[in-house]
Amino acid sequence: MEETQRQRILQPDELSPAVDLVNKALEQLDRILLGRSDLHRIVFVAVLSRGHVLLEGVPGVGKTALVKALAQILGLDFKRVQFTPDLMPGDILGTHILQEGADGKREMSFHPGPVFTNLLLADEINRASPKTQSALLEAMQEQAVTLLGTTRRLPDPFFVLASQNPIELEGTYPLPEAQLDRFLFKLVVNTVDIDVLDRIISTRRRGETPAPSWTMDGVALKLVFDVMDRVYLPAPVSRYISRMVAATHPASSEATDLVRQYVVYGASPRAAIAIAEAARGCALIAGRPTVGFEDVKSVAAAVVNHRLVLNYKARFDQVDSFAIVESLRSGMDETGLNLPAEIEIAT
Amino acid sequence: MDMTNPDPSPPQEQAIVRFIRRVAILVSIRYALMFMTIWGFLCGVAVLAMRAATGRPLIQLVWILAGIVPCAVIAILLALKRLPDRSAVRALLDNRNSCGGLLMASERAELGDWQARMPAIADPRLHWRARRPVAFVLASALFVAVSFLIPARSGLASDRPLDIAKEAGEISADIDVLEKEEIIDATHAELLETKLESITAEAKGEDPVKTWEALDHLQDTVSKTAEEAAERIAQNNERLAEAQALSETLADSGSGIDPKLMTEAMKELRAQMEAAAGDQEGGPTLPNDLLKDLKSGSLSREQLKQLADALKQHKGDISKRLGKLRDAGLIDLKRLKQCEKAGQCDSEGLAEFLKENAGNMTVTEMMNSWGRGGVDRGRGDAPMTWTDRSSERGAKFKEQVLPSSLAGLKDSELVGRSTGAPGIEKNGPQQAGALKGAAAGGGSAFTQTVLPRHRGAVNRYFERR
Repeated sequence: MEETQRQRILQPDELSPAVDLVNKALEQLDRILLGRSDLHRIVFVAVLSRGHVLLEGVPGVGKTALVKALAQILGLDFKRVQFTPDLMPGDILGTHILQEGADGKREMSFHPGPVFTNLLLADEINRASPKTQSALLEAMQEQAVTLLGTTRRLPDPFFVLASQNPIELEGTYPLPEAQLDRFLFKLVVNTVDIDVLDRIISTRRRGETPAPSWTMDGVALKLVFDVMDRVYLPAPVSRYISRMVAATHPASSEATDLVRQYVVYGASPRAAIAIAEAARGCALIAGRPTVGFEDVKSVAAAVVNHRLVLNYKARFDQVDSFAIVESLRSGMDETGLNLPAEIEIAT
Repeated sequence: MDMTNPDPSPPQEQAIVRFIRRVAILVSIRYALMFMTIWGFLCGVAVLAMRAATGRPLIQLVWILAGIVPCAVIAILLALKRLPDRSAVRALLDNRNSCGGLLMASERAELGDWQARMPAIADPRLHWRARRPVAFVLASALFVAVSFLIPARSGLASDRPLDIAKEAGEISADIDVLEKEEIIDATHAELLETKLESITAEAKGEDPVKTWEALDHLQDTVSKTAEEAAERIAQNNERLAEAQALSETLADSGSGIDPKLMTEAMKELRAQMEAAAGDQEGGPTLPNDLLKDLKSGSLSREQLKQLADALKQHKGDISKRLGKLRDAGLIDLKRLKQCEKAGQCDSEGLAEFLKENAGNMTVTEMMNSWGRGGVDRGRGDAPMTWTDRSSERGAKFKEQVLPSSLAGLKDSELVGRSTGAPGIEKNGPQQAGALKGAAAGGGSAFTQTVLPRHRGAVNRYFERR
């Protein structure tokens, strides 16, 4: 009786088509944008998790190119909004205008904004006012837009990939915590090394990226999402995620010294959900039907780093949230075995 | 936790059971060592306590060794209660063998084809840092061994006797002196000796204060007895001295004394002798005929001289006794001198006093009131006896050089001498010193001229200081 209730995990033959599709897509991305394979994988994890990504980096490192290429490969509708201080919520969400019909009757008709797309690139999101930034809150969380009492669903899938420049802070509005929390990942995009630069210069005229030789259609994407939903999260891993997120709070019993010293507010439960989803995506890319501890560790920094509120002492001591997450990754026993202190497991 | 699996277990399940079993063994040993350490120290302390209390350990080594068995049993029970969670062990093995969650998933989900693809599970090596617990156990065993082997006497300083032989010897010598001088009787001396022996026997290092206190108390008793005896001797000596002086006076006066006075004097002499004889210290041993005539009040001049000689000899005996007490350190020099002084009596002065006051008072009254006077001797109401003033003939003033400040007086000339009351200065005592003439309120010094009649007292005061 108990055997019949046991869930059957994804079998190899069910998993492999989705893995092949993902690998093909990543291969295309790596071909279009050189020297960014790690970034491509983590962004693809966000796509598989249906999460939004905040890309932070100086201009010219390929943030916009990455998003464009991703949209092309996935065969998704793509729109770009350049956020400026005078941008209004209606400029993103859409607005009602008075229009005269063929019968001469005037009525309010809705003109959807750029948010009605599959992949929205919110370029330099921190340049818009908080009012405009907040226009994205419902869209990102509920995948819907409510205007004049009417809620309109956004296309599925819907991703926001936002970028922000960390060095030009004049005339910018830092994203509020509620907005930041809605991003699955905050990724720091750095410049590439000399060899990659050399390859870019020698293979790309005027920096133009080549068109993808293969793109994914809607059916393939649905297959990938369906498989992704069936990736198994074992109980010990789920427990580890919960313990790790709880340990980001200074009052937690498992909090590390760095957390106790520098963190004011830890990560939200949304962070735990995000880690679990992202770890599933990670396992799928690795071709596994189950999530392991290493999947959690590989996505923890990207998920948690923008969700921690550090104190001023951290700034003075030049301790960033990545160091905090690293202390959690290395300082916690994943299994929760709790052997006596004198008994160690030889490495 | 169920460590057995009835089904033919896959290798990974067997690895989990093996790991749990190894952890259980290590934890059992760890607990056993901990309990054995505690047991060893407890037994060691108990053995030491028993040896201190009774001189014997009362616990056999076999019983201490037998205590290891319950330690081991309790350790195993505790280890079985605290076995690692099977799910956590599964997670550990999954993580260590890079199973990517497959082993963890196998707990609740069906792996299907993935079962065959799962990597081989290698048992992780357990490392136990046993140096510290083993060191504690060894220390505990050593403590037990030492508690059995340590010599009882050297271990317990309180059993050592306290050496008071010297002090006891001194007190015993004092008791002997008191007994020999008949200040205490043999029974009393024996009692004191017994007490001294008891203190010596019970003198132990564990409570030296108690011994020293007992010894001090005994010494104090002996000294007090000697002091009291000396006081009595002094009183008796005084009485005998007066009797001697009276007998000598009567013998020297002979028939020149008034018969009535003679009768009263004889009566007084008899009373004095009876009082001396009744005293604890006793009086001189007198011949029977002398005693008989003394009682009848018909002592002849020779008998009075004989009595005076006997009294004098007895006083000499008393002085010898006092000297022995002093030599033994039982009385101090001051007491000795006081006793000797009490034995001195001026027979000539007494004769003169009797003549002067004959008829005015009885002999008893005269004997009671006679004295030499003075600030520290004699009765306050004793009448003072004045003699002729001393002659100034031949007396010379000692020449002294005047101090330099009075050098001007060297050339002074005596113009005359007069007698009269000293004049009183109307302005009060003259001020002197640095603040001479200072106004009141601005800081002033008050000087008092010492009157001539007070100067002696002031000088004596400062000399004493």
